[in-house]
Amino acid sequence: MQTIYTGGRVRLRPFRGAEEYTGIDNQLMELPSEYWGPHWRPLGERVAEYESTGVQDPGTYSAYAIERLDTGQLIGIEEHGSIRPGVLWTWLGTHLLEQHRRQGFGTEAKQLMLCSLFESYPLETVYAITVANHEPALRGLERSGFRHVGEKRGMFIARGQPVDEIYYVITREEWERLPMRQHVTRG
Amino acid sequence: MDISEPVKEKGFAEGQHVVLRPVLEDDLAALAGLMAENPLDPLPWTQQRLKKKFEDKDEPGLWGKSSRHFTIVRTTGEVVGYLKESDDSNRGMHWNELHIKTGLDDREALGVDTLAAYLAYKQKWHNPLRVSFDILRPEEEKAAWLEETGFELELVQERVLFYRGQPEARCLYTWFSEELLNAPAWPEE
Repeated sequence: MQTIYTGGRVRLRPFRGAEEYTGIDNQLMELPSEYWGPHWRPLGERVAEYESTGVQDPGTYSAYAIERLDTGQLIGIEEHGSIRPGVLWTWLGTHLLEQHRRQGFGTEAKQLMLCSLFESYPLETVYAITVANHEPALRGLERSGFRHVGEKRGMFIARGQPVDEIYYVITREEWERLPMRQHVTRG
Repeated sequence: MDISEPVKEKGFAEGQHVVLRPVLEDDLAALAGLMAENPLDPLPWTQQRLKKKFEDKDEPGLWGKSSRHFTIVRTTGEVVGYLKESDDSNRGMHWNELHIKTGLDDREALGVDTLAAYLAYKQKWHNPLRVSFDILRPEEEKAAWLEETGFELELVQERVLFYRGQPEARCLYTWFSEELLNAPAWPEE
């Protein structure tokens, strides 16, 4: 059974079909990130991915639609990495269309994803990774309850120069103390 | 040739005591045991599972495009460990796992020799920007080998794997090239 997590402003839900998934993914890829640079995956690869698992495969990768509650618009993708026996961590990531950024939707989407992950799997930690110069992402992670744990020096090349990757974590205990847990609707 | 002399192993990387070479089918029984010992791998390896991976049509011989296994053998031929090397999509970034058979009297010497030989091999042929090894925090012996061979503790990821019933941290040790250490911060101030 798939639990849908709803907060005060956004909802995380599975994609309704390959067209919806690839549609938002296309829009996001048309906006090369100033920090991460351009990304592209052929349409056929993404359709095959959806048809294989509905992009809901905890063993490898899962992605959820971020839907605004006030307008019903699909505004981005919330994703997490693999969950495997004996492994106590995974990662999450948030991708929002430009016009919906800096309004708190990403922060809530991350917190809903944390609820889904910690309530569904025996995880101890969830990590998030960004690049050193990505100030909006750093602030968003801290607002979501993550704390900084360290860097990997020069792990990413941007505009020909090495940039550090920054690691953030939230533990199960830290997530349990987040007030927003009490305001989430499940189901 | 003096046939009374033992055959000296040759490999990609050669140290004083060990060489690192691609995995041969005859290594699999020993490697399965070594992989099952490695606390970084949460799933138990069996010879059957490893043989299936060895025969994988996309990455035969445990030698793929993005990750490769080396068998670590004494110069006299005994399999004593393995090293798994993975690349990043960005140039010159490599991360690895290493395991040397537990209980060997000379395990420390073999570990240090392996790391020194591997790093020399990377510097000679691949011009790396950074070379990293993951270990689990309780593996204090490996941490000491890494520090002795010029690796620094870079990142600790707490509570990522179960080990002997406890959540444990994964520690990343890295060797940095001069090119990376001297690179300007981005964006430049």
